[in-house]
Amino acid sequence: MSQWLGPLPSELIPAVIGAWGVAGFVFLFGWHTRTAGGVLSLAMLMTLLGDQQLYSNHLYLALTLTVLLTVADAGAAISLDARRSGTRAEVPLWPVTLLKLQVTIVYGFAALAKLNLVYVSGAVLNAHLGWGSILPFPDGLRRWEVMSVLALLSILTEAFLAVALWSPRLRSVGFGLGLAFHIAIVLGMDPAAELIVFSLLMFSLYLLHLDAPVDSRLVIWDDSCSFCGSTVRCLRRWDWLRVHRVVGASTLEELPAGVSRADTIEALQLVTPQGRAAGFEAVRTILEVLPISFLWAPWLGGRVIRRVGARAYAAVAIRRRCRIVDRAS
Amino acid sequence: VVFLGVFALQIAIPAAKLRSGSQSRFGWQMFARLGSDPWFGVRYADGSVDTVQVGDYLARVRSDIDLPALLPPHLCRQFDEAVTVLVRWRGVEGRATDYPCP
Repeated sequence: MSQWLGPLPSELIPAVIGAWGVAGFVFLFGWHTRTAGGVLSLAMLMTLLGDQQLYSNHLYLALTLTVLLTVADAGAAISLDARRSGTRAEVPLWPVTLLKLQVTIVYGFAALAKLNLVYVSGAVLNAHLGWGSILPFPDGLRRWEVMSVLALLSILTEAFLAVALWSPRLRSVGFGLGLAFHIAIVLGMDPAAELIVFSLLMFSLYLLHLDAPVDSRLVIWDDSCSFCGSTVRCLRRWDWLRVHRVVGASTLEELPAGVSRADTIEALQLVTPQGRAAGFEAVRTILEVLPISFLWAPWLGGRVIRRVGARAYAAVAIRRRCRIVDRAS
Repeated sequence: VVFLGVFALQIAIPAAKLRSGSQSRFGWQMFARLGSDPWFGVRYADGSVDTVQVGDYLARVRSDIDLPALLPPHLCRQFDEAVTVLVRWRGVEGRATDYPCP
């Protein structure tokens, strides 16, 4: 097949694959992050440019992100490097901005490229949707009217995602919609494995759009309650971005305005720059900025789920076992 | 300067690819168009023809690769006794390329 860089010597191929695997793991754990990122980028670049048939948009995206993460000093925190030599509080802004822009570029150009008659007619989706995929597409729905509507929806979704993550008002909707969109792609199209990788790459970029400054939120919990203690331990474990300052109600000499002692015993309290939330609303709002939950937490904002959640929270709160010495405070 | 340079490239490359009118690399054109999907066969000296399963010779069948130009020389090497590699486009009557093996 045609090569761009010229033929890779066959004896070099195992070395490239091996270097890719080792550098990938080392980069993942943030050990000698810049060196690992450089080796990983080089292995990807050789694969991408070594042969035309090895090109994939997913690999191109992975390469772009690896280069930018390497330049952005991705090992500055939550890494073995940070554990070894301390967390660095600041990283260069420009590669981080480029990473955030990558979401807009990928979705934006994907939407623009689909603005052609063949795609809008539904023919492209008909050729790719439900063939060899995890979920089959019902034959009864395989009509041009349906396919055309799905095609238009996919264009609108990608166009929306290209801009929504930049808007504080639309960002949360964008996260929820993006998750649903990528799940639909993975389930409905082939090859699922590559599409899973693509989705995870995109989600890693979503995370950069989270507006969650360190220590910007205050969580007040009933530290006389063991059940609440285990919940708070989970929160502390999963709050990788250190957004929340978690304090027991009894340790606070002065409560924030609008929060009483009775409130803190009745339900978990969350104070953010935007206002106050309690109980299920506090949990839901907390989940919106945790890396493990920010994508699906927006779906908890529906009216029915909020109502059910509030009732469930109240039921659990009333039955919780309290006044057991807590280790989380 | 680096920021502007990289950003300009990130925009300029896919923007240029948009004008190509067909699937192309570095353009973020995932599932945006249909490929041409040519058929390949080999003809032997006695006139018999075998269909070639293209997927057996490619890591990935991409419509943006000029297979009719690039694949026949390789097929000639794979099929020792072939005298010609045949290329036909599905649904396009009369469009055909015959590549004589050396």
